[in-house]
Amino acid sequence: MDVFVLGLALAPARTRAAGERLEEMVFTVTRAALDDAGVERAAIDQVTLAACDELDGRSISSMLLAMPAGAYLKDEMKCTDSGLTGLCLGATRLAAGPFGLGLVVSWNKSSTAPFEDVMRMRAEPFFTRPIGLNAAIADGLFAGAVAAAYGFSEHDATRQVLDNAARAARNPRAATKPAPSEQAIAASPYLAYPLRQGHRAPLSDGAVAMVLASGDWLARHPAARPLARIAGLGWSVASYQLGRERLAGLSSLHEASSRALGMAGIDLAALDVLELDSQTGWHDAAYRRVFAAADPAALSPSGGAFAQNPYFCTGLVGAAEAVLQTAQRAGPVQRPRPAWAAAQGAHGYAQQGQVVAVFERV
Amino acid sequence: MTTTQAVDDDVIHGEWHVRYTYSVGKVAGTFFAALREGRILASRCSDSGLVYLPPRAYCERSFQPCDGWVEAGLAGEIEAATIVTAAFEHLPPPPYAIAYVRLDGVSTAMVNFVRGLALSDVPAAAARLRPGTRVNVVFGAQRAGRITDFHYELA
Repeated sequence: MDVFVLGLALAPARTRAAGERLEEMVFTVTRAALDDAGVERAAIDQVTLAACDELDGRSISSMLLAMPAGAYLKDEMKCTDSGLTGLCLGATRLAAGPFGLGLVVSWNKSSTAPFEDVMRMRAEPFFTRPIGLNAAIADGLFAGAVAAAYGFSEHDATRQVLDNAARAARNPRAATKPAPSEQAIAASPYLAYPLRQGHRAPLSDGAVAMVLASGDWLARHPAARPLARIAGLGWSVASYQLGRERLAGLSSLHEASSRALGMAGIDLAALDVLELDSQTGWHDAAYRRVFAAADPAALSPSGGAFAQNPYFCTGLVGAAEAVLQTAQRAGPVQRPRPAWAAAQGAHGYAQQGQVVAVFERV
Repeated sequence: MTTTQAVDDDVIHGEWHVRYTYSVGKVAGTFFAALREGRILASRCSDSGLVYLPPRAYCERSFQPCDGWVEAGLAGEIEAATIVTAAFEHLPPPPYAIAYVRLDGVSTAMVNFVRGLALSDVPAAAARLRPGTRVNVVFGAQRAGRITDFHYELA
């Protein structure tokens, strides 16, 4: 793909960004991304906004936040699946032309909304909502399904939480420190068996902005230095039916990763970094099984969702971490000279939708 | 719609009370009417052969209208289950069990409560809800033509 990441910024991750309005957070991160890329807003010819109305607590949130995201009187698109889906939209639009320089901005001030109540409202009102479904219950169903299918135990889920949290503790961009203890996880209450509170990646407030450039734009601006090439993108949606095969089969993850790696022309073993959007330790165990051919040291060096988890844009945070790796800017969690780095993001009940983005060092 | 706001030190609290009126439609209406009679009707697509619960007006595979009804068996197999042990706003008081069950003669799984199961020992109860476990459909005495007219119990 002839599209590049020219600059990026992450909002400082916090459990709750007290004293900062969402508009301020979005403006600050967008301004920082433009500065990182060395371009001004006037040079941007298209903006992709990825946001969730229910989690922001306002209708058409991305319309209200278009201005602080740099989209005032610009060509803009809106994406409601996830931040990482927004990256796919923005990048493919640049690849298609005629645009040359784009912004992708996504945010989630998780502390604003009653998360599980928002997730409950996503159930259709005839057959599912009267029984009750939310993210925790869907993830409990997922945990039970992968436990039955693959023999995962609570110990396995706890192990993944501890490992991710230990890596997150070294990540200066992480919101949650220090790492929890095994005893604290074991003592945390069940939410929806076998999912415990301590198995979940804690929610946090955050935002991400990326400046993308087409190859043509870079050819016209030889002084510009991109951070990475977007080499492959893949996405897939599994069935809404939360049956055994849907939950344990992880078909959309297989398909999204296969497409992204195929577009990049590499296999899993070539990845030096793969940031995972694991909402629980159970998910991390299941995802690692899917990515068993990858180097275990390549998986979530940042700590993944356990480092910061602004739910709607956690996948895009992972993409930013992957790009920082290729640019040798990951700091204490830097891997030795990654040539290929990728990020996975998920959305929907029990991770129905999956997105994978692959980046190449330039 | 009522919007209420209250000012705190550094936040403004907001609540929306929004009321919706969802049209049930013919297919769900037929399903709910049958529940009143103690029957579970699944919609069937003759093109794909798939039998849907919850019923669909159309087949997701063939993209043709579902053109028939099939009376589902009143027993089936658990596809996925969990025991909810946390108190969530607007959901039933815990603990309670739910399961996606594929009823006999049906292609898809439908979620409902699992009753009649001792939940004091949650891991032990969960062990009885493994995928593949057989359950029966049990109708309540009072039926309102809603999905909650029935629940599952271990066979």
